[in-house]
Amino acid sequence: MNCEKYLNLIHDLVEGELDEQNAEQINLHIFNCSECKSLFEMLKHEKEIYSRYLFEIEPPTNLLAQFQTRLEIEEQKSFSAVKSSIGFPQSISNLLAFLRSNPAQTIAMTSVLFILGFGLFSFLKTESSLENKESLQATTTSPQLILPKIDKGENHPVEIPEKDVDETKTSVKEVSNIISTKQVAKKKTEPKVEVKQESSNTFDEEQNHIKEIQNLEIAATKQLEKIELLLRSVRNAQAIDDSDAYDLSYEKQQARKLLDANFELRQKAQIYGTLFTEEMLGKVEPYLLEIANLENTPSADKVLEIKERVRNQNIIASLQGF
Amino acid sequence: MDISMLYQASATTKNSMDIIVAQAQSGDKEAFGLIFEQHHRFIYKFIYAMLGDHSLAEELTQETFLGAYKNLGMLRHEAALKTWLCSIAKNKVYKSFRSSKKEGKQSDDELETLEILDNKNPSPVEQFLNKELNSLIGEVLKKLDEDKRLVFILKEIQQLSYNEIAEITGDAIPKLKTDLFRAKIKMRAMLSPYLEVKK
Repeated sequence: MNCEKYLNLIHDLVEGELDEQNAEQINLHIFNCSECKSLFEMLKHEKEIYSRYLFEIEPPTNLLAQFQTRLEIEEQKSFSAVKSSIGFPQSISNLLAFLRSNPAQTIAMTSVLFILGFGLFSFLKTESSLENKESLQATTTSPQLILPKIDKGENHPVEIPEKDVDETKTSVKEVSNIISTKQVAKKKTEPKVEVKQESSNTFDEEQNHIKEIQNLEIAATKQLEKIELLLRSVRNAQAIDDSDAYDLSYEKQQARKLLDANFELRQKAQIYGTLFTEEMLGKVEPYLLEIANLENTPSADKVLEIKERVRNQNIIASLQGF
Repeated sequence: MDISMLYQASATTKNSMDIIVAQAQSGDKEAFGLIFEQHHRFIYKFIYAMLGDHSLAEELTQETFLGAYKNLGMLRHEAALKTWLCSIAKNKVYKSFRSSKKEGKQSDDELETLEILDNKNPSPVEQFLNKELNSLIGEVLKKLDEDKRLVFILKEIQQLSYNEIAEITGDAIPKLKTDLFRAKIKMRAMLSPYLEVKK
């Protein structure tokens, strides 16, 4: 009798996976075929033995009590963790949350603050330059007032009877006096130039500062774009064929590179006080750290854990919004 | 009790279980305690069968239910509570395999060696004379690779259906059938003296 076509069905029958109609059909065959009957008996006997394997295995009777105690401890731990996280100034976290959720308002607020700041700066600059101008006028006029006195004293020789003798000498002296007074005047006017230089230096510094912040923002945007791509790559990683291992060596290498840049940028953002940029860079750093520290072919559990976190915390979405 | 009463009783039990799950999802610890009471034996036995160690089974059963408690909100289909819990337990077990490097994953060569040893010894019954069959099954289970062991335990020992196992493992049913078939062959090869049908 050709029993090959019944083999799988016999297995399914023993496993209780056959519907009533098929079960009836195969039972009929087993009844008429001694070979299939012995196979069926053997499989059934094996199954009975295996099914008794755990009969005497019982968990400890106090397992529920143990579990409840552990649950309490875990909850206390998570409660204290939440409590410590509340220690972070609530107002700042609220502000950051507001800025994150309202990008339009954020831009408007930043613009208003920038205009106000620039206006105040310009006002202060004008005030200080006016004051300088006034003080300079006061100092530059004094040499002119002194000048006649000097002239008087210096002109005494002119009154000497030898007036005619050396009229040219007098004129030379006058010229030299004029030159010397001019030099004095020039010396007195020098501070005016310094003030001008000071104010232009401050302006330049301010311009440089703004430029640096702009550069930082550009660099941070590029950095966060790269991180977004990296996280996408990790999120979409597929296991190597016929295994549950993942090849994330490229991602790991990228994460290491990005981690260095991230640290540097985050520090700059902290110095320049660009809070949102600093927060975003800080937010992605744990992911970079974790990916950078992965093994070349990490376990499925580890990768799935990261993937799950990337999905659950919507980190990619928040990076897109940056 | 007639069938309609039985059906009614089972429906009531199912409904009350749904209510318990819903209460547990809203943070009711007592309700979760009931879930623990109902399912912890199955989970404990499953973990014990996979690892063959009581203290690990105890530890991982607690971890399974802690994980379940934290993620109970993610359970959408209350009817699948048992398979959901079992899939959490399976992940804990696989994690334990890796972390303790006690994977029990042996190559076919190693298994062949074991079979050869058995064949060389004409009387394996004598070799394991003082051991009970169950402890022998436990030993032999450790020789199966983790995927085959998982299917074998869930199907042969814990009597789940292929559909339930597929929910737990995420594998397709044909793969499960193949794994089970191979697992049975290996188990049979090592336990043959004990599996003979008494006539």
